[in-house]
Amino acid sequence: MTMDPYNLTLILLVTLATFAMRAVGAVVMARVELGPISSAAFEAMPVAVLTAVIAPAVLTQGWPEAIAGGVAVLVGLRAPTAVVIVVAMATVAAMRHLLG
Amino acid sequence: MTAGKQEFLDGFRLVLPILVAPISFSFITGATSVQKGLSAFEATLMSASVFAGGGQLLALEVWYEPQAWLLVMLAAISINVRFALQAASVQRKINHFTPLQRWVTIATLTDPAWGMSEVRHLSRQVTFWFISGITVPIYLIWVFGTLAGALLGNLIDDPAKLGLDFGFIGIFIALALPFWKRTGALPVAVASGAVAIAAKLAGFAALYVFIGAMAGVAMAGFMAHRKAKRAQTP
Repeated sequence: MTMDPYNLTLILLVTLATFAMRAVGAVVMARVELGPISSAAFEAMPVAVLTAVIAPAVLTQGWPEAIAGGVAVLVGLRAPTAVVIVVAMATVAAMRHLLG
Repeated sequence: MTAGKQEFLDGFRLVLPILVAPISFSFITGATSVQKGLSAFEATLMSASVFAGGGQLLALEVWYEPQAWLLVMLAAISINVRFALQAASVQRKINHFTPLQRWVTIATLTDPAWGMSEVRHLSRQVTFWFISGITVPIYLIWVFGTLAGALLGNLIDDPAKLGLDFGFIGIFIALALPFWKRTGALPVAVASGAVAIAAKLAGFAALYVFIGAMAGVAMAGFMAHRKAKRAQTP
């Protein structure tokens, strides 16, 4: 059982930041009404963050990642999450083997 | 059977078909955590205390960057800010809980617990035991799945060969697809994706996610602004 002070500090900070999001929603945002523009901005956050993670990871690393990303999106239109994850990993592994 | 037991089973039956998602997600999170240099114990502790996979994985991406203390919090906030909206909505439906029950519910809120509570609320009052029926199995799977992923991840010497590093992107694609299908999502996704790519290529190694996300959020605000203006001048 190893514990590193650096890792423990960062784990604590991630825990606090995540809890703060849940708590702010329950304590503050449940009491205020957002206007149409700020609520549209808030609602767009998940898709904005997810796309900002996915697009560079898929489109700036090389062909195996780009192909696997495209295949995962197509499969994901029909298949459940677990299938998408497995297909993404299997495709990138196969493409790295073939192209790398 | 008591009412509480029945409520718990109602929640459990609803969550059962989707448990395959946290099983694979937690396993990847554990494997990724040890690859990034956490011990199996630290990885499991992180899952038990943070209990939000997207934020954990995104934080691990910037774990060793300069000013990591700030970047990990930004990572967790930017991906988990959706919990603020979800908690605000759930809070209004659980005012009849005891304070302890309310805080346990809010502190362990997940996407399925939120979504299923919203649907349940349409037909009847949401109870603490109903939400527990959803959250308890997810939490147990999350913690033990991370431990399993961390222990097995230690045994794999070249994770990239198996595509394990890309499992994280697979998860994010699966999470993003329902959002991408919504009307109005395309301009937001294009703005955040394009700006994130540009920021990454420009050398913002750790901040590109945040920069791209802000561009997407600005686009959403701009579209709402234009729509409001149009409604004013018919």
